[in-house]
Amino acid sequence: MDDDVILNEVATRVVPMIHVFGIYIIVHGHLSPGGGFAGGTVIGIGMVLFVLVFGIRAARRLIPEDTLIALTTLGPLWYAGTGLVGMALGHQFLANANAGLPLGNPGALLSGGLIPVITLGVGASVALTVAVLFLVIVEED
Amino acid sequence: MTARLAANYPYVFAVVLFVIGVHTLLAHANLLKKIIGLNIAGTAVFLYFIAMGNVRGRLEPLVDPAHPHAEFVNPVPSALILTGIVVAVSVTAFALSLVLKLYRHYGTLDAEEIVRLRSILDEDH
Amino acid sequence: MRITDHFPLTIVVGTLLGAYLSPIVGHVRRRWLPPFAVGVTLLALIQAIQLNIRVRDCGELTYQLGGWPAPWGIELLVGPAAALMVLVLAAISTLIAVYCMAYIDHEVAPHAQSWYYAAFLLLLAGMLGMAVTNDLFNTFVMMEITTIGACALVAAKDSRRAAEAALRYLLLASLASTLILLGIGMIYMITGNLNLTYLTRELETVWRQYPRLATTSLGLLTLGFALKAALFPLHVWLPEAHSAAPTPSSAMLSGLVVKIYAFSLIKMNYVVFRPILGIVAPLRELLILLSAAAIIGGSLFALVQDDIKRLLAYSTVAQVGYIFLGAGLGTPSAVMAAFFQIISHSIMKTCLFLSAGIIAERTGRRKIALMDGMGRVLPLTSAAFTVAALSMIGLPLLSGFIAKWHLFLGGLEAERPVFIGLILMSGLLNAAYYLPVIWRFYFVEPQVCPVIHGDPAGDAGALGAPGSWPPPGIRRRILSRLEAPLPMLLPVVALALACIVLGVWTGPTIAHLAGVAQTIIGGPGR
Repeated sequence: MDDDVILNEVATRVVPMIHVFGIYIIVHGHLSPGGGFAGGTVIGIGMVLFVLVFGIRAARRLIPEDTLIALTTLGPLWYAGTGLVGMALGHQFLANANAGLPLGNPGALLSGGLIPVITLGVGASVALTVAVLFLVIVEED
Repeated sequence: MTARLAANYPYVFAVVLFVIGVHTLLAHANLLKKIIGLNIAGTAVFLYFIAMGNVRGRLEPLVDPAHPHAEFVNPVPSALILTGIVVAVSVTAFALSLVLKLYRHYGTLDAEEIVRLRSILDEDH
Repeated sequence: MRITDHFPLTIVVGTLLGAYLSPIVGHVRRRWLPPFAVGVTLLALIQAIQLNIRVRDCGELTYQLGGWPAPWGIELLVGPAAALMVLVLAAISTLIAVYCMAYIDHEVAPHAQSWYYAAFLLLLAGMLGMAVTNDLFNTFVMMEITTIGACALVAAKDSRRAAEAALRYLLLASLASTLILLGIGMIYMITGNLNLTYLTRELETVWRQYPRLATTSLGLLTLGFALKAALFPLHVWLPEAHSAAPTPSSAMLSGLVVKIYAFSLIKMNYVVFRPILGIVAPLRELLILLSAAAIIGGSLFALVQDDIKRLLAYSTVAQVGYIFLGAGLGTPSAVMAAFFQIISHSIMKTCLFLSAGIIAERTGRRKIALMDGMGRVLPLTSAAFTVAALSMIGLPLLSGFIAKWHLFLGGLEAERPVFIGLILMSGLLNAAYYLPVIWRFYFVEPQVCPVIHGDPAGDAGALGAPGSWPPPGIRRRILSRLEAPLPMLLPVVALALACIVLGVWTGPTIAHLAGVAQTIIGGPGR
């Protein structure tokens, strides 16, 4: 499959666009429909497409398995860490505005206190989970 | 009666889908079809939730400073179902990997065939 | 806020974090994994004890995630019943984690161990979450975490039997989850609340308007939880899953997972759906009938098993029947007996599975016919097994007797003496399948004497690095007298002692549990 010119050429152009689109959905998660899960899935699908076209070995060269798994577990840790910010400020877990964090203007990209931060963690872990699941199932075959 | 059913058609669809899904899960011997059935039943419940949250003629729940008094549909069921979908994805992935494992052991996806093969293999031990 | 105010949350989130950290810990140093898991469970245990003290002194504790007040945000609520469940979950799983320190290599491949611990802690976190949450949808999410963790624990053993059992368990448990989610949808539709407190309050007025939707919802929730808790005849997945799994998983599944679903079922029926308690009497009647069938049927199936772990699994089917019988009868003594049975059965069954695991690991024997003379080869393990088995049968001065006794009283209170006969008969049936095993342990001369594989002192690497106290020479001398590595022996003996303590020193436990039962069935609908 490595020699297929059309597949290679299309994938080289499409995969980055898919990833950028996924990131767009994630960072706008607090403003519009979508967010960590939707955007993360899009990024994950981009990785799946990469593996389908360029093969598992190319993907493994890019990110070794251990790194991938470590990164996957970092998503939930990021989420929990964001939750601890509220606790560190003397409020409840996941506290946001009521812990005194600035909310900004509604509709602006940098607004909503910790919500965009937490969406990043969700997006990262969903994207990597989709990729890991795909790799595990493909490799077992 | 018919008029009420027609007015509440999403719920009727949800029930029909649910029954199809559960039937596929329980009655088919093929493991992949069982997983598909589980997903259909799950989707039926998701449809039920989404239909419940919908209010005809209202907007999607996006706060728009230009229209401060707009009326929205209930966003809670949609948010819940997003979680439900995540759960369904993980269960499906897990079930598929187990099916793969079984396929490598037995070379078949048929649950009844697997039971038969197992009884033969167990006797050999 | 003080740090202790966060305990209802941190007990769940801390365990969840431990689950996510364990692949990383295992990646850095695989030998750190077992102590790491023990540390995480110990942390949960400490918080559970503190929560119990707080609840006893100051009443119910609530915690609002993100500071969002109750009807809108997710609320955690630790009442007496939840605190008790949390304590049982944390204590038993700490002992199982200690057992794993020496046992894990026997049944789980090295490369799978970090995932095994991740699933173990994930399962514990899910169960703790189910116990403390006061939000209906949150219950569903935690339940799914529990289900996936439990199935992963079964699948951890690399055998075709385990994969098959795990798949069947996963499919049926997911079907149950779907039913529960449908039930949640229906009750949310008529009450508009997911917070259980507000839901109950709303249900008091709306159930007259939608009686069918309310009862269908409760019926679906009950059916789903009963399927997950393996109420006869919905138990078909249990024997295979509990016997094909690695032993620590079997202990976890039989000892704890089944209980948390039974607990949720009791909570839904008596606390959340209290307003319609009067019109769902047929549902409780069905529960009683099925639990009677479970008590007899599970025991009958157990009689014909030749594998010790399958015997224990079928015995779980029978013993879960007691919990549902108590829940169905619904009198104060019966519900108290259900709670006592939840505690007592977790202790007994964990002890039985773990000692069966020691026998299998030391001598390689799982068939009941090969248990002859085990009492001489593995004296402590056999003694612990015997104590727990006698407690299962319901001998006085052991914890199983107390549960049965109060179920007796519950049957009298409900004016249904037929259940006294049922319990007596089940005691006889229990004796019929446990006594032969004990008989073989002590009174049958083995044809081929069981041989202990390996050296307990050599296996006990988890006990400490060389150079620590006591010095290796002395440690070796002490340990070589033991029949099994200390981390395996300690939990088994502790659980057997707990059976005796709960059976002899009953006063405070009974008084506390009576209070718990009162909050479940009699108290105001908070």
